[in-house]
Amino acid sequence: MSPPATDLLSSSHLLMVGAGGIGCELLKTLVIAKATRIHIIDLDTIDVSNLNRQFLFRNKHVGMSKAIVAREAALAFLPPARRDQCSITAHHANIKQPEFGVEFFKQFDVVLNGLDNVDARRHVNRLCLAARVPLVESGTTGLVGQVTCHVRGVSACYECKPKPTAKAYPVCTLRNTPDKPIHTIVWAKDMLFKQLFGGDGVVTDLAEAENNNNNTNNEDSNPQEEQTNADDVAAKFFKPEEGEQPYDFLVRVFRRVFVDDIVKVNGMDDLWEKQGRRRPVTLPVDRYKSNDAVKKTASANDAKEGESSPDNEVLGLSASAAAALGYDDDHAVSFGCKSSNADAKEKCATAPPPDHDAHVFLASGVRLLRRKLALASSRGSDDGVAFDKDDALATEFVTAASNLRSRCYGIPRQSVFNAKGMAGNIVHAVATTNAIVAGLIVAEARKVLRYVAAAEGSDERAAVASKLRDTYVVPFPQCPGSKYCIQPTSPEEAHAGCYVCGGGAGGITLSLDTNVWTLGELASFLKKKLSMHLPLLETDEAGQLYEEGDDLDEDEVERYETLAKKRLAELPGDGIVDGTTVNLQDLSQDFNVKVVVRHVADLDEEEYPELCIWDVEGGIQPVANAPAQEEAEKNDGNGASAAGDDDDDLVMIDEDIEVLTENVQAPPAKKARRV
Amino acid sequence: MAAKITELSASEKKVYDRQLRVWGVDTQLRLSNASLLLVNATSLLAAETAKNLVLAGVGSLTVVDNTPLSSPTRPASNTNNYLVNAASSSSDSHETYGSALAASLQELNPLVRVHHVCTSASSLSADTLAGATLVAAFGLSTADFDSISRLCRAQSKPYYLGASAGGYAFWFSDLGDEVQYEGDGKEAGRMLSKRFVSLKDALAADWASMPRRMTKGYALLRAVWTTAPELFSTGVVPDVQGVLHALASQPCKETLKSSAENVRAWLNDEVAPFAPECEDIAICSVVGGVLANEVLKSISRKGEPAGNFFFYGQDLVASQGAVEKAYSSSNNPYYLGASAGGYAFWFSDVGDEVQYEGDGKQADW
Repeated sequence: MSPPATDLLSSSHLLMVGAGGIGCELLKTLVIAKATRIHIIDLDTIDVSNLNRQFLFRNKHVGMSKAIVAREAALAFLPPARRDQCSITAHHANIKQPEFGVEFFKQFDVVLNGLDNVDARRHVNRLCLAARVPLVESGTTGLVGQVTCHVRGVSACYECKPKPTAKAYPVCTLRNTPDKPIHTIVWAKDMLFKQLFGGDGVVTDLAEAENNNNNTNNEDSNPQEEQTNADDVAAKFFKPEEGEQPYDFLVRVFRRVFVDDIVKVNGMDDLWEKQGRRRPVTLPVDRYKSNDAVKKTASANDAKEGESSPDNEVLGLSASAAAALGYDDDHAVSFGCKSSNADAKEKCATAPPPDHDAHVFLASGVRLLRRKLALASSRGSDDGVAFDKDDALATEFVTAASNLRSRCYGIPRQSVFNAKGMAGNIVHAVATTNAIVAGLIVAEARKVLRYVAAAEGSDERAAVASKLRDTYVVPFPQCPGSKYCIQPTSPEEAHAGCYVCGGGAGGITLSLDTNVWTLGELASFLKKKLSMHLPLLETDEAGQLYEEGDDLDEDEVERYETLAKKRLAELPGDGIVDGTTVNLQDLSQDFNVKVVVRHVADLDEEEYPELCIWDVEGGIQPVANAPAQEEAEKNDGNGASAAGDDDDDLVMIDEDIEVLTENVQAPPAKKARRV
Repeated sequence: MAAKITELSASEKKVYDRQLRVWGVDTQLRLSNASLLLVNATSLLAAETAKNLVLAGVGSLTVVDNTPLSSPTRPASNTNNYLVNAASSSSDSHETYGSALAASLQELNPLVRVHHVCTSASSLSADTLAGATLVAAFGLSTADFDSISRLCRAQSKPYYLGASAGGYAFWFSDLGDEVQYEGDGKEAGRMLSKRFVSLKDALAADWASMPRRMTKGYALLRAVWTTAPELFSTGVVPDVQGVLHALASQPCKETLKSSAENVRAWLNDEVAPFAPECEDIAICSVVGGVLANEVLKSISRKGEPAGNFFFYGQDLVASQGAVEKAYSSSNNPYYLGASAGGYAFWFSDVGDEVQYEGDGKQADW
């Protein structure tokens, strides 16, 4: 009879990637299960909103390294005698750093992922494949989660099925015809906020909106040059003029985006009645602008008195302007509506919003602008203020701006709490699901270790291989007729055409306009799409065209910069044109892939927001792009069964995932194959 | 009793931000107003469940336990109860598992009031129960589980019982004869009710009334209940052959029983060598998570409470985590009706057979 599987944990070398929600539970489970050699990597630091579930952390740890604090806390869980035998190595670092390459991975018997983004997962997957180390992968959102195992020769790799990518919203919808809260939130965050408070030289689609509208009639005259000039003019509008007071500037911006731009877009007759849309209305800016409390809040500084350094000025400009104005309920759909009664809330939601969104817009906007200016003067360069969901001023400005725009367009108002969730792509998270998933990871890891320990070709190995499972966690009663909260299924089989583990057998075709796309645009698109870290791009005809890395010499950097600006068709060696094969390589991931480019002109932006068509042979289009998905998410973020993909694949579920739309999938119970 | 909390504080909103996005402010407020009683601090499953409940932000949690830390059956130097270890290694001195666990739990979440009552499970009194919203007891002997079940029934307290040994764990719930809850999903906004029975009735249910595809965990529980009454408290199984015999004589289909080989391997390899610390952290992590979810759900009164059983395990139950319903055959069909304002409903329960039957795709384990 074989010894208990638990024994193998204590003699194995384990790599844990991620010390967040799942990671905390996993590290605890591993050390109690008598694992003795663990490396843990996480680049993140601790935030107060982690404390409800990342239970190795306390208030006093906020701001400190997750990996390092987790190590200390986990060791304290052991009785002294066992503590000495347990070695945990904590790395406060990014898994993509070069020291965590193939050689580093080779020392481990199994890799356990508790990550929060698809990009890093794909990176780890490639290194596991290159180092031939099995991977146990996991994810959670709210009450659903999953654990999958990826063992070469037994099951699929993490990338055998395409992962959903961030949803891109058509710029024209955001700019002209928003009809959902998310549209105005993305507009407020990615266009307005970035344009107003971003660093020197930032130009968003908000500023471009202007010239695109103007340019429609003179396309014959050198459009490229005019575009650039128009960009400058538009971008200049969104900067305070010499001597202009921040408050006056914000009023000017308000008038522009909620009055003038609305009038302009209202004049584009094709957009409205013909398409069955309601025309937007302007906001009465003059009613809001002379409120004394708003002016006072805008000009206040909470910095300590007596010091007038720019640093102190920056510190004093972080407190919420909304709270200072008395609007402190982040959960209120409409301010002044504190009832927890659902009906009352509903009524508040439909009542005409009072002026507070405009007040918060002005007061928080002024404070953000003052912070940006103070930062620029203390740093000597204007890098701007980046949007951060934990920055009270930033979230309330984005909420207010988005609600004002929603009001123009008749879209329901959102509470700060909700808007923050959408703008910050915040994933629902609870301790219980992470605990369940961590237990399942360890159960699976024990089997994987037995598999690794068994001789190749042995009966023992075959027997263990047949016991490996992918497991899904669903709340009861997820689905009538299913009594399983923990659903094991046979692991996915490897996809022969997988462009990651299938040896480049699968073909990828990318259709785009080779006379419009530049090499730089192509490279950054491919880098993101393929989750590459340091991409190298070449064609058979022209050789290397693009490369990223720290070890490039100056000549190379210059050459690649020049090439990056060229349109694809104009590149050396007959260019990248219809039928050209582009070879991509990432040495840091030991990863190669070929992409065949197809030329196609005039793609409809509504249908293809990315202005290209990405097609993986034998692959399934990521679910996130299906319209049904959006609806399911909008409702409750946990509408697992509603998303109508015809495949029984699951969207991976992520802790604190960074992109907007892939956070909510669980297997419809009927689809999970029982084994 | 503390005054009812009707609004979340600023720090609660910050700390609970991510979970408020799962269950909303109303549920969080219900949790804040709940007082839980946790019985037996030696159990690893108890620690796991309690950790989850304290992190979720229940109003108060009282640990009932008087096991000395230096108890001969629970040597303090060799324990897996990590929350007890964490407190034991701090400067404070603790004499019992209960006080150590309470200290660790308090440390986990300062927004929760954690108390310790130094008494044993078997001498738990109605007074201690009085203020509790709900009782959860873990890792006891079958006699102690029975007495808690009777006590809670008599006091009309909803209660959960949970235990694990090696690669097997279960929990049982009895939320009362007719527990009311608000439906969710398609039933959102409707008041529904569900019936629960005592532990004794649940373990004596007639096999003929059981779902056809009942998980193997249930027959196994009935077998060990009578032949290894200390299994879940000390890990001691006097007679493995006796357990196998009891399982073999369960009057149910063979497909509903774990194989003798698996049961023997479980008791001989996973339980006996590690007793009294035969609870496996991976199993407890999973089951404590599911159980805490259920406790939170029943406090929120939103969504159908699972149960009255949940089983999970590795080889014994094919790594599945299954909710089951086992009621005594003496239950007669019944109808319930109620109305509120302009709305009324009736609810019927004419038997258990069809309730949780698997669909056609589910293989028969």
